[in-house]
Amino acid sequence: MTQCCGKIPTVEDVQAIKESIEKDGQKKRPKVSPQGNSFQGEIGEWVAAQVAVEQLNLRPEFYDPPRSSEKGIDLVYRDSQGKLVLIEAKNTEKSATAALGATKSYGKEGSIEWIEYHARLMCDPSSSRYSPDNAKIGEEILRVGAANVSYVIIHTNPSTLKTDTVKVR
Amino acid sequence: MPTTEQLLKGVDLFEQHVKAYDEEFRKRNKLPKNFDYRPYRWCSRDIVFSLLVVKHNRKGNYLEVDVCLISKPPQYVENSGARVALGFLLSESYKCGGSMEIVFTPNVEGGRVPAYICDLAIEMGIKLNYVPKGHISPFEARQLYLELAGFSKEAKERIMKLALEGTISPERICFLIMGGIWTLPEAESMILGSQHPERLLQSTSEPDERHLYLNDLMVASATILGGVLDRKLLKTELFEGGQIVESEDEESPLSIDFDQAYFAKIYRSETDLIIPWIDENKILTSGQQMVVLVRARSDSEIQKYFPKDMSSLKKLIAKYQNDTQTMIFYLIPRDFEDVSLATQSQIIAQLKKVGVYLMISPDNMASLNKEAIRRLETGRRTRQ
Repeated sequence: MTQCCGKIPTVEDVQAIKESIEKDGQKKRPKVSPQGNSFQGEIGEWVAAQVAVEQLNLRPEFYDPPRSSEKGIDLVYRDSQGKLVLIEAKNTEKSATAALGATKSYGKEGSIEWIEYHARLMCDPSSSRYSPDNAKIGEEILRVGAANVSYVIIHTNPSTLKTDTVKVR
Repeated sequence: MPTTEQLLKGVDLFEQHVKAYDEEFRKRNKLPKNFDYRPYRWCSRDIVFSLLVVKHNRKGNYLEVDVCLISKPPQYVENSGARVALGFLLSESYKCGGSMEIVFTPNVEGGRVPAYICDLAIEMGIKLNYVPKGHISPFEARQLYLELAGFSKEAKERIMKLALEGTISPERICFLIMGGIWTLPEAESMILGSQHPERLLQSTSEPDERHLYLNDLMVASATILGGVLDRKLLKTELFEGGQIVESEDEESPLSIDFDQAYFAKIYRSETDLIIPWIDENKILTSGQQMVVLVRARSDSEIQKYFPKDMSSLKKLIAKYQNDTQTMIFYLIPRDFEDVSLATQSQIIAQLKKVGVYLMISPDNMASLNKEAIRRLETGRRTRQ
């Protein structure tokens, strides 16, 4: 990002950008890579949703997840006691915790500050993450405190298709 | 979140602007004025961060944004697209000479402040009051600019003090950093390490005012010497096809602080780093700290002022001795090689005795001064 460069584009540049957007629209799936990509992310979330319901006995909550290429809380569930469980789906050859990304100001994904930041985004009507359902969840996270909300990583290895669950909190 | 329809509409409008720009300026070999619409694309490698079309609205004295498409590339930190876009909009707003107010036309997400910019403002803890109206007020813009530049708490306090005294505006300092004239650690070195940073940052001293100018030049050269070390440490080298290649857009995870009492730089790394420009192989291990006393001195100055530097080094050792992991370095330019061999040996022996490592930069004073003059001259040409 530090080397991000700005220029006045030519018509050809814009054509190339448009083509890449159209290609994305046609859902041409990229290859699976060890670093992960949005396609893998979608598979990871699909697997995580299954694991959450079938193995962890969690109940899904009304929640609008971020777009596949965006960062944020992937899935929101409730446990048998009605407590919120935030789920991070990972589909990568890296270990579950090594695959966690970071923000400039709020540390790694899953940290208390990171969850609070995303809860604030979900509550703020000006934010891209706002929706009435998300606002309810965001308010609940802020009310009970991010430290008191469970955060679980459901990790799938794309080569072996083995799934493991890491409870961060 | 912008809808797919808004995104596609925005790209079409961007294309129209590019075609209009081609017709009006590129084909006629003319340059646009600030009040003409100008399309920009911001990329790193083949990743598009943002597509923007802006012009300075002369009547309202604000920056008008007609297209503002922002991406959130998953490979980069959160809100990286918004950082790039907002950094450009604020710098352009300053460059055009407006009030720093930014106004988004109805073509941008229906006339509101883009949602991704709001996400970034929330991340930075800044409240935007006119989101539905599509305005970022001059006050909010200044707050965003200062936060985006990433100054430390001490530097921000000093900047606000200077602004209250009316000597320099915060947005000018941010513009010098965003414009690449000074890096953030360099600007912090000047703001915290100099008595009159406003003179350096505004390039107010003329060469005719000999004493003031030479003083500014000395501080600027020391700042640049520290900056050269920053860049050397930040640079990441990758192996590709058996060859070492420098990565264009990856930097070592390094934190850079500044000790204003001694004009010393403090580095902490999250990964192991090879320490450059010293006689032996040393590695700055993850979590370890290194303190570098930066002294831009010519050969004669090295000889004359070494006892003074030695006393500063001893104070630095005393200050940081609680942490046994801390390594202390004495950074000087290549002019050291012009010092007589006997004096060189004496200096090296004295440094060894107190456990300080001698670090010799590949730059000499002539090149540091040349670069300092270039930067001061460039600063003089930017908006005051």
